[in-house]
Amino acid sequence: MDRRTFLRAAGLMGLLPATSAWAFGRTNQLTFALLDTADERSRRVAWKRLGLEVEARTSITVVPQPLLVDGGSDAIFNYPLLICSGSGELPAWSAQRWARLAHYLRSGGMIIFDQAQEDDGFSKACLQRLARQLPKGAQQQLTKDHVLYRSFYLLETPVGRHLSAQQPQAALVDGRMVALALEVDLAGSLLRDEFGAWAYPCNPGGEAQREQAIRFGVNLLMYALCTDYKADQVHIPFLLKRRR
Amino acid sequence: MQLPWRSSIVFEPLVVPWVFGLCLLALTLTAFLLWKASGTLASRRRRILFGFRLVVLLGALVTLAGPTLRHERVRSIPGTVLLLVDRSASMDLATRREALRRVLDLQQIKKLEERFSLLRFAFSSGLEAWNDNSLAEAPTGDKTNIINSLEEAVAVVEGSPIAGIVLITDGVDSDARLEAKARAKALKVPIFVLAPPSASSRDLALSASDESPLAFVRNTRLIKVKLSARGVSGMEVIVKIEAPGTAERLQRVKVQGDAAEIELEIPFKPMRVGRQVLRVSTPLVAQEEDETNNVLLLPMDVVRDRLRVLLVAGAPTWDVRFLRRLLKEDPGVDLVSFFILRTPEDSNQIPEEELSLIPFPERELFEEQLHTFDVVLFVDFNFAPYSVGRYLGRIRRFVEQDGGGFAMIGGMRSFFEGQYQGTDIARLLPVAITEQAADLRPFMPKVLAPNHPIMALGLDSGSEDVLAAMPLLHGRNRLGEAKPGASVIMVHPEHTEASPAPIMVAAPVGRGRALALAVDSLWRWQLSAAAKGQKARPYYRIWHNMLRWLSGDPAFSRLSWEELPSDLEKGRRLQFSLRLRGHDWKPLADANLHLTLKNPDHKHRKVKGTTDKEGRFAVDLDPLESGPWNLEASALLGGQELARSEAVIIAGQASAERRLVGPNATLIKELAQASGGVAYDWNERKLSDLPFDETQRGERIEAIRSEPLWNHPLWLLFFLIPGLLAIALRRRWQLA
Repeated sequence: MDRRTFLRAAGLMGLLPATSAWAFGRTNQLTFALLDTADERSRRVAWKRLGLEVEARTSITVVPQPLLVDGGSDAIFNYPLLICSGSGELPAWSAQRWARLAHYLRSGGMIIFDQAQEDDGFSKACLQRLARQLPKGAQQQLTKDHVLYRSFYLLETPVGRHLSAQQPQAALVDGRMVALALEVDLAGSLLRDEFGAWAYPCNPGGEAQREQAIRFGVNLLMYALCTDYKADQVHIPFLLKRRR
Repeated sequence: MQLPWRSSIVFEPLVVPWVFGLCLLALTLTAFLLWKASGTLASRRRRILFGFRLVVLLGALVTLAGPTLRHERVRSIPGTVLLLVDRSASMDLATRREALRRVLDLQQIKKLEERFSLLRFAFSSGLEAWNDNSLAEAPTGDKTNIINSLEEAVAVVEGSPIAGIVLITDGVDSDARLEAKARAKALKVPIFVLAPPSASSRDLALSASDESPLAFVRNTRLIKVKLSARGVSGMEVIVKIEAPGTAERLQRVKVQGDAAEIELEIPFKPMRVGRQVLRVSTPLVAQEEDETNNVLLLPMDVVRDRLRVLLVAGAPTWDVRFLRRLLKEDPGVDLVSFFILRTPEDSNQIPEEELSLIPFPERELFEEQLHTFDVVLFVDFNFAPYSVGRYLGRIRRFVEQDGGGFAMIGGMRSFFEGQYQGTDIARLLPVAITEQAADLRPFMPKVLAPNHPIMALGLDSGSEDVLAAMPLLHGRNRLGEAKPGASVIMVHPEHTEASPAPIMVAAPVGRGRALALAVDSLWRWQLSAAAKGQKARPYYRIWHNMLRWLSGDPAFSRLSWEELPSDLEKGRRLQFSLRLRGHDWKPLADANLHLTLKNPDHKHRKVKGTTDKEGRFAVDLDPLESGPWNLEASALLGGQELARSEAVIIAGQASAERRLVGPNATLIKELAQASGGVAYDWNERKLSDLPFDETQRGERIEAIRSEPLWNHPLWLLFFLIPGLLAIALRRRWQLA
């Protein structure tokens, strides 16, 4: 049993006061702030799972319970990372709500659109709609050299329940990725059923792909917290060596 | 001898000008009416009649103008000679002062005055009045402008015939202009220059070619220095360069030609900010004419081109994410950041080659490279797991001895939570670390020192009002009492004197500065503030101000120098003020100020005083010995040091004028030739022997006699006859 597991267990057993660990308040920690959609509600557990993996593998501390937030409220400004899982058509949000979301992104926030169904265009549609509110040229296709793929693990593409042949679309403001449109159902790859088994198979790579999906999830959260830290000059010699 | 009389006609009007104008108008109108009235006559008759009438009218007009015959008795007088003597500092050489006394011998002056009207002037940057006693004093003009001075002298006697100008100079002109030759020609007066011989002396001089005394820390700047040499052709000169913090260097220069000017490029790489003095010197040569210009002291203001900041974060958090972004976007900041992405307790089952992690380079950062940073930030960083404990003493020395800045930003790995109590960092911090767990409640901090420069938010409303509208901060590390000399800038709302709860505390520590900020949610003043449409400006300003303060920006110093000159002329008193501000940044009265002045010869001057109600202490010192002086000031209250500040001044350095090795034979010759004069060696030609233009003579009117013409009987006839003729013709032609 490692120290953190022990502390968690001790906390559950009432041996320690149940305070937020490693940051002063919930909002200062990484919180999975989920925009309130039908798919999001069904996938809350998946993000909790990712939180546990991130805590175990990295120095990031995570608020254990994902939160549902109203995308139209000021509450989103308390969470620098928002997640919007969905499928099908564009959410029926008002123009004012899209504008408010764009204001949130320009002020320092970030949003990840995660598409539950393969090839149904949900994430891209959301990103395109959002890009209308952002500076011209904000929407771009990522390349495999993007710092997202080396924020913790060395990766080359997004991985989830599915794989995508193409690099994802993203929105960048002043060089910072503020929105990412995933089409691989990242949450789906992390979801377990009530019996503790994985809810969906990962295609085509099976369990190895699931591990890659977890790694991609870790990178995604690491990017949200560190942005382009791994693009700093001091890291480049190490990374070039490992890429070889 | 009977002087001749000279006669001329002048006009002395009988009426005031406006009456004359009215008369002119009336006469013109009369002429017009008379012309019209004679329209019935034949053309020839009409012209004759009008001609006579016109003569009458013109005669009346001229009479009003008062024609007078003036007789003047005139005496011819000699032309003017202008004598201009160079009193700039370059003339302050024993040989030149001696030569000047000889040239301006009283006998010579007397002889000249017998033949000409002599006007004497001194000059340096412009024309000055002549003082007979001035030859006994050293010339001190710090600039020379020969052509301007010549023009001003000629303007003084404008209109008088000038027999010539005597210019006594070495030709050293700090403001020499390309058009000087053309301007000398335009004077239309011969200039006779008496100058020292160019081949008789030896001198080496160093002068600064660059105008900007600015260098960037850790950047090499090539400083241009000019070596002027005269009379040492073929000699190899060794130039010595001494810069603070580096070993002295020697540069060998071969001099070619009798009057040589050699540009030297001296690399200078300062390692700390502030004013530093670079000393460049050449040895004295035998029989050197001027020994004051062989040393050049160059005060260089060393500034940062970019602030180098080391940010060490114990984990990726929102607070450090927003802070890093702010620093990366600032072109004035060179950021090196290290985040602990994986702790020793985290899972490490993944092979290293599949990770992008790099080892934490604690030795490189805190041992090898620490001196290259201006500011070190520990953001929610716990030192213990990363073997950083052994470097905490180095960080303390980096601040106290090297003048760096250190800040600890709050979080669950900072202060007490990061187990810093009892460490060198705890001794460095401006506030005591309380052994109490963090307070997790949200709160709005109170501003205790709104005048502190960190709280200068650049907004119309005060910092307290601005921050009151900001989102709440979430949680804080509990800190204890601020240390003596520290400024408590923000506090928790529950803060009292008995139970202190500081949030932001800053203090100078040794030569550097330390700051403690007990929160990890300052990012909320950017993103959360945006929910209400508030701009992120307070967040940016507070952070930029913190960095400026930590980096020792002089504008953020509590003890500042006012009106301190960078150069002090020889013999001049040193006068300036020191200004002290208190912890709350308001003027602090009744504090003790200690000022020490030191020069490289280990000579000291010490001054003590007390600040007045404006926080000022005026310093007035006797002239300093020549050379660079380091000034160190410290302010104490109740035996406790509040602030300290350093400065450098250079006293009694030879002026730029003294560094222009003369004589400038080219300029001297050009001025003389362009004006039609001649340049002479002042050892060979006497003042009274100069070939002035004797034909240029003036005149003096000694008597005037006037005879009015307008009341002369003949004058009356002159216009009465045409009038009578006109009347006669009218009758003859039977006009009504």
